[in-house]
Amino acid sequence: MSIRFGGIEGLTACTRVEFEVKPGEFVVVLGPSGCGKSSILYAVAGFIRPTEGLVLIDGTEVIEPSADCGVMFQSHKLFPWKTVEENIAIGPRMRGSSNIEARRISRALIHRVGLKGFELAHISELSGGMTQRVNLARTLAADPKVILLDEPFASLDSQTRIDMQELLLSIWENSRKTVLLVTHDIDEALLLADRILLLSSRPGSVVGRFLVPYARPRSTSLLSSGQVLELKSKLFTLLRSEQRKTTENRR
Amino acid sequence: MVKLRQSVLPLALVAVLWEVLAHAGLLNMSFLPPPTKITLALLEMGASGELSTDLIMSVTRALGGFLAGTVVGVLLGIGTARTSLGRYFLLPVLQSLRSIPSIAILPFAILLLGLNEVSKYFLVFWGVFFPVWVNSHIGIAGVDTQYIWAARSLGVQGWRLLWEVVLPAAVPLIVAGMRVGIGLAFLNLVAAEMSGASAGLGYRVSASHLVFRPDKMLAALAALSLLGMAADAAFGLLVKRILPWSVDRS
Repeated sequence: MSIRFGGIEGLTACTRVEFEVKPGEFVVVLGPSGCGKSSILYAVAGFIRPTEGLVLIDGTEVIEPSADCGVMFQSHKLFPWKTVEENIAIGPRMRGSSNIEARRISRALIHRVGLKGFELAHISELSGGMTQRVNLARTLAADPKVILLDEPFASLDSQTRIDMQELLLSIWENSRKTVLLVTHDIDEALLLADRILLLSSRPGSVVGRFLVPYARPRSTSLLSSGQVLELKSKLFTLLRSEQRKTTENRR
Repeated sequence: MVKLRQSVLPLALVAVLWEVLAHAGLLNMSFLPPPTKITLALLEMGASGELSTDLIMSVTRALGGFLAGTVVGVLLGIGTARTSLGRYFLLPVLQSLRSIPSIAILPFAILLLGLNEVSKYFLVFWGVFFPVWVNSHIGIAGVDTQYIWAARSLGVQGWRLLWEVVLPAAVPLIVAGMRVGIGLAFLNLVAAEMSGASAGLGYRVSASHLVFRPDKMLAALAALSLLGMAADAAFGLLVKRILPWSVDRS
């Protein structure tokens, strides 16, 4: 698919991007800032329509947002007029669960993401790391076919980010949901992905596809082990050269 | 907002100064009766039942018009912000009506609806409607797209999207519009009561003028001041209680 904003003369976010994600696979789209990687994710979610091409989930074309795709944004977009528990219960309620059942699912997930005791808290009372925990729980509670994560941990401090990555890893390794995550963080990609798609600078297109072969279950200690060095330095070189192009284009 | 408690001392000082100046012969007592005489007038009006009739009439009209203006304002705000019929047809019409200073509509309202309760409620409604509508429109049209995206990918659709996401997200602005509406409700109420009524605080102000009772006039004005402050404070408390997230950020 290709995505262009503002007509033929407009800005081309990405061009001829083609990829497939298998059920239960964790794919990371890695690219320099401003390469159109979020646009790709938004097209998969049905928020925007690709200018050319199409998005298929289980063979059905995505034409509008639906509960098939759970999305987690970088800034949390939790609803401040609802409590933690109510935010997480939205997905189950919309699927038709009774209020009691929705609350049970919500409470179980609150427990799972380590926020026991915050069920009735309001969103404004939570820290940045806690809101992303609630966000993750809310996305999981809706039980989507595909989970889309748009740089979900980019605004967190480095220690909190590591906590969240480990939480995501452990949840994913138990549930094996289909995940597409967008990031510019090489470590995050190496830690989480089964497969990495490397995007060029804008207009983004896939310039590299890498299998990430490390055994699971993984933990952050993987990143300080010798086995990642080769892939890491390769990705680093490629990403740097794309990032440089972005900077040069801006001049 | 100045707290009620904090305004007691300054007001008391002004009253004492006023009283002293009046008794020293520096103020014309027949035009500017001192606070003691105003208080006596207030007690007299209370004893005769005048005050409670005026209060009940004024509060009923203000509250009725305010509620109607709020409901219609929010509904049309949804219409102009989220439907194309509203945006292309209703919006320009309402924009041009909004430019008319709302008191100027009073003679026309009386002509159209008659010199009765209906035209009084209507004028209050007219004053409240516009700020509530404008703020609802801005609030609803400006809801963060990502809120709507997030909700839709959780399966929220249709009226539930409106009720559970769009309206709550717009509430801080709607509440601000209602607060402006409270002020305009009293303004238009008094204008309506001054032109043809048989009870109400606005009527009392103009009637006291005709019979030259400045003490009663000032008593009615003081009651209006208290009523306005009480309405604003009550609204603030209500909002804080039932819509806590809307005050978190202000």
